[in-house]
Amino acid sequence: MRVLGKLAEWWIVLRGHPGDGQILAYIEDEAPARAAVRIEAHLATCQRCAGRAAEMRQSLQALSGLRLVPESGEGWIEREAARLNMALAAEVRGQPAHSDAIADDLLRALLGRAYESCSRTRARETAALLLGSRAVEAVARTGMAGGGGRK
Amino acid sequence: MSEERDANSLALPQAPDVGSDALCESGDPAQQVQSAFHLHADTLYRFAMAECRDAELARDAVQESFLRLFRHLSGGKRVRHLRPWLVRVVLNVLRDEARRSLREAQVIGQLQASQDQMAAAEPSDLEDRIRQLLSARERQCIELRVLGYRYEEIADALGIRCGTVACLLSRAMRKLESVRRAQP
Repeated sequence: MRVLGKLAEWWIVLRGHPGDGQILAYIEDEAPARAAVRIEAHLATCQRCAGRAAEMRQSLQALSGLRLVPESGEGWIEREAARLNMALAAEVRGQPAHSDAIADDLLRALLGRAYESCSRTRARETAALLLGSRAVEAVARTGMAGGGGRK
Repeated sequence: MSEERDANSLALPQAPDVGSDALCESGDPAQQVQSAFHLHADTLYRFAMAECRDAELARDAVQESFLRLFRHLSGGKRVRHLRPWLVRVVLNVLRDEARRSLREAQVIGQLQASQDQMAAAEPSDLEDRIRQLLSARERQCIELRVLGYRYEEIADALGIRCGTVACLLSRAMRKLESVRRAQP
Protein backbone atom coordinates (compact mmCIF):
# COMPACT_ATOMS: atom_id res chain seq x y z
CA MET A 1 0.00 0.00 0.00
CA ARG A 2 2.83 2.32 0.98
CA VAL A 3 4.73 1.44 -2.21
CA LEU A 4 1.63 2.19 -4.27
CA GLY A 5 1.31 5.54 -2.55
CA LYS A 6 4.92 6.34 -3.37
CA LEU A 7 4.44 5.29 -6.99
CA ALA A 8 1.34 7.48 -7.23
CA GLU A 9 3.33 10.42 -5.86
CA TRP A 10 6.10 9.85 -8.40
CA TRP A 11 3.57 9.49 -11.21
CA ILE A 12 2.11 12.89 -10.29
CA VAL A 13 5.57 14.48 -10.21
CA LEU A 14 6.53 12.85 -13.53
CA ARG A 15 3.41 14.27 -15.15
CA GLY A 16 4.62 17.73 -14.21
CA HIS A 17 2.55 18.31 -11.11
CA PRO A 18 4.31 19.35 -7.91
CA GLY A 19 4.30 16.79 -5.08
CA ASP A 20 2.49 17.39 -1.81
CA GLY A 21 5.77 18.28 -0.11
CA GLN A 22 6.51 20.93 -2.71
CA ILE A 23 3.03 22.43 -2.46
CA LEU A 24 3.28 22.54 1.32
CA ALA A 25 6.73 24.15 1.18
CA TYR A 26 5.29 26.74 -1.22
CA ILE A 27 2.31 27.49 1.05
CA GLU A 28 4.60 27.84 4.02
CA ASP A 29 6.97 30.12 2.12
CA GLU A 30 9.74 27.54 2.46
CA ALA A 31 10.22 26.60 -1.18
CA PRO A 32 13.33 27.90 -2.97
CA ALA A 33 12.57 31.06 -5.01
CA ARG A 34 12.71 29.39 -8.44
CA ALA A 35 10.57 26.48 -7.36
CA ALA A 36 8.07 28.87 -5.77
CA VAL A 37 7.62 30.73 -9.07
CA ARG A 38 7.09 27.44 -10.91
CA ILE A 39 4.60 26.12 -8.36
CA GLU A 40 2.70 29.42 -8.28
CA ALA A 41 2.31 29.34 -12.07
CA HIS A 42 1.23 25.71 -11.92
CA LEU A 43 -1.39 26.30 -9.22
CA ALA A 44 -2.88 29.09 -11.30
CA THR A 45 -3.62 26.66 -14.13
CA CYS A 46 -4.11 23.27 -12.46
CA GLN A 47 -7.37 22.80 -10.58
CA ARG A 48 -6.33 19.52 -9.02
CA CYS A 49 -3.20 20.98 -7.44
CA ALA A 50 -4.97 24.21 -6.46
CA GLY A 51 -7.56 22.07 -4.67
CA ARG A 52 -4.82 20.15 -2.92
CA ALA A 53 -3.20 23.42 -1.85
CA ALA A 54 -6.52 24.63 -0.44
CA GLU A 55 -6.87 21.39 1.53
CA MET A 56 -3.40 21.83 2.93
CA ARG A 57 -4.14 25.37 4.00
CA GLN A 58 -7.17 24.07 5.87
CA SER A 59 -5.02 21.40 7.52
CA LEU A 60 -2.49 24.02 8.57
CA GLN A 61 -5.26 26.07 10.15
CA ALA A 62 -6.55 22.97 11.93
CA LEU A 63 -3.04 22.10 13.09
CA SER A 64 -2.59 25.46 14.73
CA GLY A 65 -5.78 24.80 16.72
CA LEU A 66 -4.57 21.45 18.05
CA ARG A 67 -2.52 21.04 21.19
CA LEU A 68 0.10 18.65 19.85
CA VAL A 69 2.77 20.39 21.94
CA PRO A 70 2.02 21.05 25.61
CA GLU A 71 2.42 24.47 27.24
CA SER A 72 5.21 25.00 29.75
CA GLY A 73 3.14 26.76 32.43
CA GLU A 74 3.46 30.00 34.34
CA GLY A 75 6.78 30.81 36.02
CA TRP A 76 8.48 27.81 34.50
CA ILE A 77 11.30 29.75 32.88
CA GLU A 78 12.20 31.63 36.09
CA ARG A 79 12.33 28.45 38.16
CA GLU A 80 14.41 26.64 35.60
CA ALA A 81 16.73 29.62 35.08
CA ALA A 82 17.49 29.61 38.81
CA ARG A 83 18.21 25.89 38.63
CA LEU A 84 20.46 26.38 35.64
CA ASN A 85 22.36 29.18 37.38
CA MET A 86 23.12 26.86 40.29
CA ALA A 87 24.26 24.16 37.92
CA LEU A 88 26.44 26.62 35.99
CA ALA A 89 28.02 27.87 39.21
CA ALA A 90 28.81 24.29 40.17
CA GLU A 91 30.26 23.64 36.70
CA VAL A 92 32.53 26.66 37.08
CA ARG A 93 33.73 25.30 40.43
CA GLY A 94 34.27 21.94 38.80
CA GLN A 95 31.71 20.14 41.00
CA PRO A 96 28.58 18.23 40.09
CA ALA A 97 25.45 20.36 40.07
CA HIS A 98 24.12 21.15 43.56
CA SER A 99 20.74 19.51 43.12
CA ASP A 100 22.41 16.40 41.76
CA ALA A 101 24.74 16.21 44.75
CA ILE A 102 21.82 16.46 47.20
CA ALA A 103 19.85 13.86 45.26
CA ASP A 104 22.86 11.54 45.28
CA ASP A 105 23.27 11.87 49.07
CA LEU A 106 19.59 11.19 49.65
CA LEU A 107 19.64 8.24 47.32
CA ARG A 108 22.67 6.72 48.99
CA ALA A 109 21.04 7.07 52.42
CA LEU A 110 17.77 5.56 51.19
CA LEU A 111 19.48 2.66 49.53
CA GLY A 112 21.59 2.00 52.60
CA ARG A 113 18.45 1.74 54.75
CA ALA A 114 16.62 -0.44 52.28
CA TYR A 115 19.66 -2.67 51.90
CA GLU A 116 19.95 -3.28 55.63
CA SER A 117 16.29 -3.94 56.24
CA CYS A 118 15.29 -6.15 53.33
CA SER A 119 16.68 -8.34 50.59
CA ARG A 120 19.13 -7.04 48.01
CA THR A 121 16.74 -7.69 45.14
CA ARG A 122 13.90 -5.92 46.90
CA ALA A 123 16.16 -2.95 47.69
CA ARG A 124 17.13 -2.66 44.03
CA GLU A 125 13.56 -2.96 42.84
CA THR A 126 12.34 -0.34 45.29
CA ALA A 127 15.12 2.08 44.46
CA ALA A 128 14.64 1.70 40.72
CA LEU A 129 10.89 2.16 40.93
CA LEU A 130 11.15 5.17 43.21
CA LEU A 131 14.09 6.88 41.67
CA GLY A 132 14.09 5.70 38.08
CA SER A 133 17.21 6.28 36.11
CA ARG A 134 19.46 7.23 39.02
CA ALA A 135 19.03 3.90 40.72
CA VAL A 136 21.48 1.88 38.69
CA GLU A 137 24.25 4.47 39.14
CA ALA A 138 23.50 4.69 42.84
CA VAL A 139 23.58 0.95 43.25
CA ALA A 140 27.01 0.95 41.68
CA ARG A 141 28.18 3.77 43.97
CA THR A 142 26.93 2.15 47.20
CA GLY A 143 28.75 -1.04 46.32
CA MET A 144 25.59 -3.10 46.46
CA ALA A 145 25.99 -4.62 43.06
CA GLY A 146 28.68 -7.05 44.22
CA GLY A 147 26.68 -8.89 46.87
CA GLY A 148 26.16 -8.83 50.66
CA GLY A 149 23.07 -7.96 52.65
CA ARG A 150 20.24 -10.35 53.35
CA LYS A 151 19.30 -12.58 50.47
CA MET B 1 -1.65 34.56 -5.71
CA SER B 2 1.25 35.49 -3.51
CA GLU B 3 -1.04 37.72 -1.45
CA GLU B 4 -3.28 34.74 -0.92
CA ARG B 5 -0.24 32.71 0.03
CA ASP B 6 0.85 35.29 2.59
CA ALA B 7 -2.59 35.38 4.15
CA ASN B 8 -2.69 31.63 4.53
CA SER B 9 0.85 30.90 5.53
CA LEU B 10 0.41 32.45 8.97
CA ALA B 11 -1.51 29.57 10.49
CA LEU B 12 1.55 28.27 12.32
CA PRO B 13 4.06 30.37 14.26
CA GLN B 14 6.73 32.02 12.17
CA ALA B 15 10.40 31.55 12.94
CA PRO B 16 11.84 34.30 15.17
CA ASP B 17 14.43 36.76 13.89
CA VAL B 18 17.56 35.18 12.51
CA GLY B 19 19.53 36.99 15.23
CA SER B 20 18.00 34.87 17.95
CA ASP B 21 19.62 31.78 16.47
CA ALA B 22 23.04 33.21 17.19
CA LEU B 23 24.67 33.41 20.60
CA CYS B 24 25.16 36.84 22.13
CA GLU B 25 28.52 38.45 21.51
CA SER B 26 29.60 38.41 25.15
CA GLY B 27 32.77 36.38 25.65
CA ASP B 28 31.60 34.79 28.90
CA PRO B 29 30.15 31.33 28.19
CA ALA B 30 27.95 31.41 31.31
CA GLN B 31 26.38 34.67 30.21
CA GLN B 32 25.91 33.38 26.68
CA VAL B 33 24.20 30.27 28.00
CA GLN B 34 21.95 32.28 30.31
CA SER B 35 20.74 34.57 27.55
CA ALA B 36 20.25 31.60 25.21
CA PHE B 37 18.27 29.90 27.96
CA HIS B 38 15.82 32.80 28.22
CA LEU B 39 15.34 32.78 24.45
CA HIS B 40 15.03 29.07 23.75
CA ALA B 41 14.37 27.06 26.93
CA ASP B 42 10.59 27.34 26.75
CA THR B 43 10.35 26.04 23.18
CA LEU B 44 12.86 23.34 23.93
CA TYR B 45 10.97 22.20 27.02
CA ARG B 46 7.69 22.02 25.12
CA PHE B 47 9.36 19.95 22.43
CA ALA B 48 10.92 17.64 25.02
CA MET B 49 7.56 17.29 26.77
CA ALA B 50 5.84 16.43 23.50
CA GLU B 51 8.51 13.83 22.82
CA CYS B 52 8.71 12.07 26.19
CA ARG B 53 5.44 13.08 27.94
CA ASP B 54 7.35 13.26 31.23
CA ALA B 55 7.71 16.69 32.80
CA GLU B 56 10.67 15.77 35.02
CA LEU B 57 12.58 14.12 32.22
CA ALA B 58 11.85 17.04 29.91
CA ARG B 59 13.13 19.52 32.52
CA ASP B 60 16.30 17.49 33.01
CA ALA B 61 16.85 17.21 29.27
CA VAL B 62 16.58 20.98 28.85
CA GLN B 63 18.94 21.63 31.75
CA GLU B 64 21.40 19.09 30.40
CA SER B 65 21.31 20.62 26.93
CA PHE B 66 22.26 24.05 28.27
CA LEU B 67 24.97 22.59 30.50
CA ARG B 68 26.38 20.83 27.45
CA LEU B 69 26.23 24.13 25.60
CA PHE B 70 28.22 25.71 28.43
CA ARG B 71 30.86 22.96 28.30
CA HIS B 72 30.97 23.23 24.53
CA LEU B 73 31.54 27.00 24.63
CA SER B 74 33.95 26.75 27.56
CA GLY B 75 36.03 24.39 25.44
CA GLY B 76 36.48 27.19 22.90
CA LYS B 77 34.10 25.63 20.37
CA ARG B 78 31.43 27.53 18.48
CA VAL B 79 27.82 26.78 17.67
CA ARG B 80 26.68 27.96 14.28
CA HIS B 81 22.96 27.30 14.44
CA LEU B 82 21.91 27.26 18.04
CA ARG B 83 18.25 26.25 17.79
CA PRO B 84 18.83 23.01 15.83
CA TRP B 85 21.93 22.30 17.94
CA LEU B 86 19.89 22.43 21.15
CA VAL B 87 17.15 20.22 19.67
CA ARG B 88 19.79 17.65 18.69
CA VAL B 89 21.18 17.59 22.22
CA VAL B 90 17.72 17.26 23.78
CA LEU B 91 16.92 14.36 21.46
CA ASN B 92 20.22 12.67 22.37
CA VAL B 93 19.56 13.10 26.09
CA LEU B 94 16.05 11.68 25.74
CA ARG B 95 17.34 8.78 23.66
CA ASP B 96 20.05 7.97 26.25
CA GLU B 97 17.47 8.14 29.01
CA ALA B 98 15.11 5.83 27.11
CA ARG B 99 17.93 3.31 26.66
CA ARG B 100 18.84 3.50 30.34
CA SER B 101 15.21 3.06 31.39
CA LEU B 102 14.95 0.04 29.14
CA ARG B 103 18.06 -1.51 30.73
CA GLU B 104 16.62 -0.97 34.20
CA ALA B 105 13.27 -2.35 33.10
CA GLN B 106 14.98 -5.46 31.82
CA VAL B 107 16.60 -5.97 35.22
CA ILE B 108 13.43 -5.41 37.16
CA GLY B 109 10.86 -6.50 34.61
CA GLN B 110 8.19 -4.25 36.05
CA LEU B 111 8.68 -0.89 34.38
CA GLN B 112 8.33 -2.49 30.98
CA ALA B 113 4.98 -3.93 31.95
CA SER B 114 3.69 -0.53 33.02
CA GLN B 115 5.02 1.05 29.81
CA ASP B 116 3.26 -1.62 27.77
CA GLN B 117 0.07 -0.88 29.62
CA MET B 118 0.46 2.81 28.83
CA ALA B 119 1.17 2.10 25.16
CA ALA B 120 -1.82 -0.19 24.88
CA ALA B 121 -4.16 2.36 26.42
CA GLU B 122 -6.83 3.81 24.14
CA PRO B 123 -6.03 7.30 22.89
CA SER B 124 -8.02 9.76 24.92
CA ASP B 125 -8.52 12.58 22.44
CA LEU B 126 -7.92 13.83 18.93
CA GLU B 127 -4.31 14.84 19.63
CA ASP B 128 -3.46 11.39 20.95
CA ARG B 129 -5.06 9.71 17.94
CA ILE B 130 -3.02 11.89 15.60
CA ARG B 131 0.18 11.18 17.53
CA GLN B 132 -0.43 7.45 17.28
CA LEU B 133 -0.84 7.65 13.53
CA LEU B 134 2.38 9.58 12.92
CA SER B 135 5.81 8.00 12.62
CA ALA B 136 8.48 9.26 15.02
CA ARG B 137 10.06 11.44 12.34
CA GLU B 138 6.72 12.85 11.16
CA ARG B 139 5.81 13.62 14.75
CA GLN B 140 9.11 15.39 15.40
CA CYS B 141 8.75 17.46 12.23
CA ILE B 142 5.21 18.49 13.12
CA GLU B 143 6.16 19.33 16.71
CA LEU B 144 9.08 21.47 15.65
CA ARG B 145 7.03 23.18 12.94
CA VAL B 146 4.25 23.94 15.44
CA LEU B 147 6.92 25.48 17.67
CA GLY B 148 7.95 27.82 14.86
CA TYR B 149 11.06 26.11 13.49
CA ARG B 150 11.77 26.65 9.81
CA TYR B 151 12.26 23.69 7.47
CA GLU B 152 15.99 24.31 7.33
CA GLU B 153 16.27 24.23 11.11
CA ILE B 154 14.18 21.06 11.35
CA ALA B 155 16.38 19.42 8.73
CA ASP B 156 19.51 20.46 10.63
CA ALA B 157 18.13 19.26 13.97
CA LEU B 158 17.01 15.86 12.69
CA GLY B 159 19.90 15.30 10.30
CA ILE B 160 17.72 15.05 7.20
CA ARG B 161 17.31 17.08 4.00
CA CYS B 162 14.96 20.05 3.62
CA GLY B 163 12.98 18.22 0.94
CA THR B 164 12.52 15.29 3.29
CA VAL B 165 11.14 17.64 5.94
CA ALA B 166 8.56 18.92 3.44
CA CYS B 167 7.63 15.35 2.47
CA LEU B 168 7.32 14.21 6.09
CA LEU B 169 5.21 17.23 6.94
CA SER B 170 2.90 16.74 3.98
CA ARG B 171 2.51 13.06 4.83
CA ALA B 172 1.67 14.02 8.41
CA MET B 173 -0.84 16.57 7.09
CA ARG B 174 -2.53 13.88 5.06
CA LYS B 175 -2.89 11.72 8.16
CA LEU B 176 -4.20 14.71 10.04
CA GLU B 177 -6.80 15.26 7.34
CA SER B 178 -7.89 11.61 7.52
CA VAL B 179 -8.36 11.85 11.30
CA ARG B 180 -10.31 15.08 10.93
CA ARG B 181 -12.55 13.55 8.28
CA ALA B 182 -13.22 10.56 10.50
CA GLN B 183 -14.29 12.89 13.33
CA PRO B 184 -18.05 12.72 13.92
